[in-house]
Amino acid sequence: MKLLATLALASLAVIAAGLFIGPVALSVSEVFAALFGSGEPQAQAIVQEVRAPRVVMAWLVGAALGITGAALQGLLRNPLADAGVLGVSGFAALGAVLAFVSGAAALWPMAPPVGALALAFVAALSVTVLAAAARNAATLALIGVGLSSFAGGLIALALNLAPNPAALADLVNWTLGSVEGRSFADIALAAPFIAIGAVLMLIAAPGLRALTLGEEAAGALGLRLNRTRVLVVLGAAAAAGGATAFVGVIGFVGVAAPHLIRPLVAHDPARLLLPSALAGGAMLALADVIVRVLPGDTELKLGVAAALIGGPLFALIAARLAAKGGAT
Amino acid sequence: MTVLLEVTNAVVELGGRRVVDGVSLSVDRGEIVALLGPNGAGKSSLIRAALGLIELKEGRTRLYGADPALMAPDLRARRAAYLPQKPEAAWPLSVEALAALGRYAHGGAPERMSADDVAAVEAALVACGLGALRKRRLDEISGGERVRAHLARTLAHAAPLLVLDEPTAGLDPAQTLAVADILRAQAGADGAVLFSTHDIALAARAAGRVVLMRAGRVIAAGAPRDALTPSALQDAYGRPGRLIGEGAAIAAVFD
Repeated sequence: MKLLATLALASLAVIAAGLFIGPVALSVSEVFAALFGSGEPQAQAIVQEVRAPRVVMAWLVGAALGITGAALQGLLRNPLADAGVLGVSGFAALGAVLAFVSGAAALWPMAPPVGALALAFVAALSVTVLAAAARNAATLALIGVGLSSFAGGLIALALNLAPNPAALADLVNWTLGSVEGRSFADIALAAPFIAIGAVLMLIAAPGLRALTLGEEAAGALGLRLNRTRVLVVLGAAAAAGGATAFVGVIGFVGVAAPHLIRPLVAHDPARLLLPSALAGGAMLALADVIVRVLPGDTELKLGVAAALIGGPLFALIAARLAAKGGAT
Repeated sequence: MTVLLEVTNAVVELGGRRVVDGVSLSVDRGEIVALLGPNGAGKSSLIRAALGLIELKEGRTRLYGADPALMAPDLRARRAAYLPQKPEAAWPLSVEALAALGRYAHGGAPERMSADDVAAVEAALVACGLGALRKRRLDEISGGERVRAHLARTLAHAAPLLVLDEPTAGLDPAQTLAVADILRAQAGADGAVLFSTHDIALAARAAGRVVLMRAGRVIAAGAPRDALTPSALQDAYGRPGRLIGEGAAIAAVFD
């Protein structure tokens, strides 16, 4: 409870920072005035239409990736599992790209998240099935690398073949991930998917605890294994799909957030989910605040910032796992 | 119901190989039955198939008169607790948290433990001599202590039938005898135990009945003294052996 409260406070603090910090200098009183609809129209536009949706979207996506990573790790009993690593995010981005380039998004605003969810589901399902055959951590990561590269190739192909040739910048946005220019309308489309996904994964949480013992022993413990698998795969697809549909692929938050939280919840895979969501949200929102204030003409993509921090951490966890020869 | 587990003409195939080949076995209330046999005799496969954890190619298995493979998993877990041969824990939980997993089928979870849950976990930890280690993490204790922690998890089910696949592997002689006491307590409390082991002396001391397997078949069964004859041991293990001593001083020697 204390942990959740601390993480919630941290999230609020980072979101607040996201309102106050940006390339255009606005004073504290200007931001407050803009928030409540008074003050300069320009300041209002910056705070209400640029900074607020952006930081909220970053938090929401981070939370989605954090809880998805925690749930996938519990299901696969592997601390390296995460939507990005396993190719779930890549396929989600592909689904969203297809919705945009096919013109479906213009006809039906729900098309990008629905497309993202559909392909994310296919990827999550394949990885779960393949993971059952390949027991160890490294093999699973390799399967994910393969799926991710494949998704990346298909995204490039889709953008290439698009009737209105999309700029290279689009490809970069989808494969590197960015919250630039996101609106509250995007958030309103993404949030329900993320919320439903989170609820499905939370329902599966006690089953993830039973899975600590392995699939067969968990079955003997009384677990309905297939129910847990379906809940997590659907939940991960919905949350990662909803998150990726509007910001593209952002890696490593799903590895880093649960990794930091795990010792604080006594390594309990069930209690890991909610704090990992809050931590993932705070981390990604913080990363977004940091990329705004970095010097330079072009802003660093959020996905790049996440990879710069998360990549080395991923390698470190993998090396530690290899040294231990797997988990306990 | 006096017959808790009944396996009839069980055949199990793994990877196209017939690892259990027509085995029948029953475990009654109050009984301790030991499964003996060399490596690869099919003991683990028989145990897993008996609980409906892997498929029976032929034959049938009944737990409380019903097919455990078709039973609701939580009902099965309240009737029979299973300890795998190499119990794993993907995460370094505390000893107490691992034992509490045994309450899963009763709806017990660390965030909501009923009085029954707390009592069952407590009794299991004490029975396994883990009272002082309850807060320790699984990666901070010895291999033998980990085995006992997994055994405590099994006891926490508070199931009438214990099915244990080599519960004393890696334990020292004193701890092995402590496990024998746990098995006797289970049988004495109107429960029953089916366990596999390579410790012939333990089987002879603790079990009322032994089932000796080789190459997927039963080659001898009955009271330890009657079943574990020199010829049966020779047949099973390929070396001449016999039981010596009496009661608590019983031992198996091979030439």
